[in-house]
Amino acid sequence: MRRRKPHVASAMTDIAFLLLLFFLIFSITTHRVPSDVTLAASETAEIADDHQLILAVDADGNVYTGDQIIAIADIAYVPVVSVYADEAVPFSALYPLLQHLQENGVPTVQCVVRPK
Amino acid sequence: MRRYRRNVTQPSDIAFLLILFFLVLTGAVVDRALTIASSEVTTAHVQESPVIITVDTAGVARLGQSHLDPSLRTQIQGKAVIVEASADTRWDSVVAALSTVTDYGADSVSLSMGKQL
Repeated sequence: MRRRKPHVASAMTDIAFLLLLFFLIFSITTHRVPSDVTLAASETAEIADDHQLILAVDADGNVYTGDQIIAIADIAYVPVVSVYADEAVPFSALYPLLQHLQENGVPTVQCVVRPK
Repeated sequence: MRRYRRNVTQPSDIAFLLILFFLVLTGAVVDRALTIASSEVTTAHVQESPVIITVDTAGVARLGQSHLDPSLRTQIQGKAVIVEASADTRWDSVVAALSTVTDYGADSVSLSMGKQL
């Protein structure tokens, strides 16, 4: 009598859970912006390009990359910079960052907003 | 004795549904942004006669003495616009002005910090 082949469904389950873990981690690690940053609202904003460098600016004017505060002078050149600025931050706190990006030759600055 | 077949399909079904959920979630959560011309952040004289929109500390946007409203659309459409905000202007007021001039069809929008308005 022929032996039955072992069931492969358990292997499928393993793959499924690995994929699940991948997407879980992916969704958690992307867009790590400080939680206390409330974006300004806009009706006309377009879908942002891929983020090459994400900078967050909180209401006190601190500039973050990830969870770390970064000095403006330490920001390296990338072609596209996405700025997540708090809606309450005064323009004077944000302007030195924009100036620095301009001086470094960054051609595109995306001011990320929340849709209205 | 009767043997029950192990029901292995159920966890994989749930897993695949969760995968679909996260796939849709990661695809659906897209950021929206207003793009500003970084190269013109500080240089107001680069463009030929750019339209200058001022935003005061109260968040009121003006073109000259006129409030920024749809009647000014023709003056902004297709032009290079510089949004000049004062130092104490909140970012949401600047974004509102950027948003409006983008809606009015400005060709390019740049930012500048003006004197105390």
